[in-house]
Amino acid sequence: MRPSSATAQDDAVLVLRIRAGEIEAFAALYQKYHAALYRTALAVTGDSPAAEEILQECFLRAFRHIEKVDASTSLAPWLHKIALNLARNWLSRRGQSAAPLEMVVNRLACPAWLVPERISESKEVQAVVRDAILGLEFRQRAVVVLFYMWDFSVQEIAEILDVPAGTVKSRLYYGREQLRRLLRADNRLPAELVYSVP
Amino acid sequence: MFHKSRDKDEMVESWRQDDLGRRIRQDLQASYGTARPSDQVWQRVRQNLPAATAGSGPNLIVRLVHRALFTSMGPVVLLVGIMMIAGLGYYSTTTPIFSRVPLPQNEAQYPQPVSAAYEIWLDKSLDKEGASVHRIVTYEQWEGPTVPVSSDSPSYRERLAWGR
Repeated sequence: MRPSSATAQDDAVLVLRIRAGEIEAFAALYQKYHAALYRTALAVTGDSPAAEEILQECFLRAFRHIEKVDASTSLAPWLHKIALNLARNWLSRRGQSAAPLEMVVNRLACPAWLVPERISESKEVQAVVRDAILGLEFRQRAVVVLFYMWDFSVQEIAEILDVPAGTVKSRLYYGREQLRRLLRADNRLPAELVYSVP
Repeated sequence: MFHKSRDKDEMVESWRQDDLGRRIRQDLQASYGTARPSDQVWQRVRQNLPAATAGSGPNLIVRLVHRALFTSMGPVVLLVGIMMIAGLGYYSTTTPIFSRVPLPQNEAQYPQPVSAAYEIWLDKSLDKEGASVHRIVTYEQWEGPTVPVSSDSPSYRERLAWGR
């Protein structure tokens, strides 16, 4: 997903063909980026129908504004910018991260001895981390997802989110600290994993 | 939070590979790495593309104006446009937009009133002193002759309005 010069060249060709009215080029663009954008939207919203809705609207907007995009660079940051703006709007309408945060709070409030059995399967441990990420506020969540899921650089994340690079670093720092707290406090994690959380 | 400004970037990059970073990356990949949207999403995008191509009204107008003004054919397009607008203006001022309904030439051509309330007559008659009195009455209020006579007659009626 990290934009390489080859990717940027490919995207530039696609953009020119789309501008010339080639729907096949737009289909190729969709094929190239739809899975990544869907995963980003899903990781940020935690809701697959919402992620599909965001993906659909993201590509329609991209098509409408294809004349404005800088064709000399990769389209990945631009498309992520659209997708994350749509995700933020969706979360605002829904009440930001209400359900995931409730989930996290409930788990934190639940005493360890009430948890029927501590989990050890890796899949469920992943669910703990996933829920903890969904428990972050949107600004930190978006940075964490872009940084860790797609390896975007700090500068690219800054451009995607329209904030200074320093703000990205700050959000990443506080997002990681919050994740650390949430993971340590989650009673579903087995003791050996709790202690291993750095 | 950061001790030295020049170390910031290195420190942030190190967060990708430290224990917490590796766990976050690994779990994000495991949770979402294989997630895919349904094929219907592309179908819906594809169906909505013509609307996106046509653009919204203002977008289309902006494009047309831009093309008219800033292409090599711009002056010609503008001249043709101005001539068309001038021609339309001239035509609209010299030609009635709606064809007029011809007025009836005599009483027999008048349509039968649907309701007396809609049929208004000018009732001209002489009062007791012989002065001319005009009043507007409905058909039922008319007491004079049923067939209009000359306006010079002491009593005559004239239909002012009729129909629905």
